[in-house]
Amino acid sequence: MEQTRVDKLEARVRELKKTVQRLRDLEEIRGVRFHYHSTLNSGKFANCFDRCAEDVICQWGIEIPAQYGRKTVQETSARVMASGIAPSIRQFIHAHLIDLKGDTASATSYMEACPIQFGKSVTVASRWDDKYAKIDGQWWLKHQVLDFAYQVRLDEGWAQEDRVINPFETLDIKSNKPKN
Amino acid sequence: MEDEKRVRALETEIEALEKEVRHLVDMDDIHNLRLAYYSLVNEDRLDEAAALFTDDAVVDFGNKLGRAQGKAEIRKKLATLKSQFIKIFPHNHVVEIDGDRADGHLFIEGRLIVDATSFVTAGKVTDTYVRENGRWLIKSMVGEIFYAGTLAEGWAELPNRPHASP
Repeated sequence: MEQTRVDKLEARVRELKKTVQRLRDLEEIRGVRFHYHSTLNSGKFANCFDRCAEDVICQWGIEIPAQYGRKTVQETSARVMASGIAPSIRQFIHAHLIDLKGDTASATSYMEACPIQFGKSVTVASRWDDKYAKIDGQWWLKHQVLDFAYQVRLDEGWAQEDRVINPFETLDIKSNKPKN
Repeated sequence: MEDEKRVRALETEIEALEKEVRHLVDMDDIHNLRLAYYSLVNEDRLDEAAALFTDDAVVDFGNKLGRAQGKAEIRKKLATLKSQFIKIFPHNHVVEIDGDRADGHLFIEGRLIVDATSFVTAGKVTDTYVRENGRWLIKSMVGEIFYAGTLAEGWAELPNRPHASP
């Protein structure tokens, strides 16, 4: 059967809707990653996980074991903050590249950070590997893995072989007590 | 009759789509406005950077440049930075649009030369934007410094050394 003018218009509108929805989804996913760092940089630690799914998995590397669920990551994060090992968090995101597939997406981004650890200026370069899901029309972070290229004292630089300082070398993150 | 009904439905869908596209184009324009500001500053095209503000814009640079009221004063303050080594990198630009105005914030890292010394700075910038004659402009900009000091001293003491940057 031959397509009428209205049939063709409907087909074009359907295509256009898909494209617009895709652009909207990409913008919202960027917002999810940015919200995480906006809140941290602004000292609003309690809001940092607002856009994490209830069953989020966070793998921050170093000595923190993988964290399962928003409630757990909130508790762990509160313990880290309370320990005083991270008096200053300044994180800057670059090159957030998103691979969108319907209601799920994966992404990578690079992070530079300039925290203070042990009273020293520390410089960080790392990569985030994320997974996102659209649940009830809203995008959520489902899984994030942090991979450090380096985390070093500013005055030491990153040319040495051992280029990831462990900020928890004196702290048991599980008990929040000094290590023996 | 059936065709008329379908055309009406299409018109409604097209209206919704136009609204969505306008939103996305506005977001893109505002992101580009912010990127253009730092790009022009980094390339020492300070007069063009001043042109991105409304005539009545209010700016608090958060450093030695102080505050400026109105485009003319902003231009004058920016001109004092002519030929200085200033490289500012914007990150994490978040925008919320409400019709012809918008709020936004972003984080900046800066690499400067101050008193012949390598100088680093970072901070948060909070903005408002307005659309004037179809073009988005910066209506207000408030800088909040996290730290500003020499590369050698770093940021562990969170110094805020006197300096001037856009």
